[in-house]
Amino acid sequence: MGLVNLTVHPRSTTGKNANRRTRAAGRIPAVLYGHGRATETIELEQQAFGAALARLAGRSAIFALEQEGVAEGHIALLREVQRNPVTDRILHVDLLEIPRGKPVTVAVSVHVTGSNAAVKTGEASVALSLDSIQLSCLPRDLPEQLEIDISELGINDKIFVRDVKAPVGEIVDDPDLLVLNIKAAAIFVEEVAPAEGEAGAEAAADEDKDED
Amino acid sequence: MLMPKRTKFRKMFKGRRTGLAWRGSTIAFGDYGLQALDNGWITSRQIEATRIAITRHMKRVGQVWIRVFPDKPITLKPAETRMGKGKGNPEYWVAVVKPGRILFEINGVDHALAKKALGLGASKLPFKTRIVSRQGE
Repeated sequence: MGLVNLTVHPRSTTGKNANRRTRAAGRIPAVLYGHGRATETIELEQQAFGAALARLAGRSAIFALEQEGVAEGHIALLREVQRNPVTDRILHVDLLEIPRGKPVTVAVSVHVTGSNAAVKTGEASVALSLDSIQLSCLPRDLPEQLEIDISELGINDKIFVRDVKAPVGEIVDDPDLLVLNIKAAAIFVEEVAPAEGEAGAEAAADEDKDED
Repeated sequence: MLMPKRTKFRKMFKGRRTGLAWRGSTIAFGDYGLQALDNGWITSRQIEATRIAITRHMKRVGQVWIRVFPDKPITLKPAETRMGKGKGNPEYWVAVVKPGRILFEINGVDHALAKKALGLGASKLPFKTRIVSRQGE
């Protein structure tokens, strides 16, 4: 997986009003920490960072941070992106610096591939329980996503973490965690002959409840 | 219909609905969600009507999550009653919704069906909403 280049600028101001001015100037307030270093406040170019996020579309990535006047940049993982819940505008970014040449543990998103016959016909649906799996590997080997093929699965088949094959590195998550299962669709069964008395009334009530 | 099993107090102040829904504003369970764009109260009847509209259009395939719960009692005074003599009786329950709140989530259906089902559900609600999908899809 390639590195995503990102230009960062040092930031000396902190606080609500200063951050508002930073955003108004077309930059995003951000913070860089980790790898035994002191936390550093930085700014990112809003347009460039937004475009990079859109290109990634949920896939894991490592950012190569370039700073003016600094010869050797850092590499960092995206830890958190804070957004406005209505406008989706990015408000703040957390970057975690990672050491070069040492394994890091990263949550890699799960991507379901393949066409499953039961899912295609509507008899079943894919119930995803884990949308990311913790993977320990070298930063340069980090896969963009972990692919799980569902084409061979039948109804009620399950995929656990132990069934997922990581292309590189080692999966850190509990092997018994459920990743996904092929869940049978609820099938509506017409009541054939309602029983007499209370049992019949109960059955009808249950059926009405299930119908919705 | 949804309502609390028991409450500490029978009646509640009206309250104010300022700000945005900073919590409960991201998709947590399904692939598609219905997000509120305005603030307001959503009654337990409206929640049920929306749920029925969504599940009936999905033809019982997939899964639906309701992300709001009506825990606020609303009181009304009887008709043709003079003012005073205390607060009215609890009549129905509402959930307080702020802009950005995810109201419903669905899973196990394709994009077109999800859009149509959530659109039908949105027509039962008293404020503007939009359909959102899990980030990156």
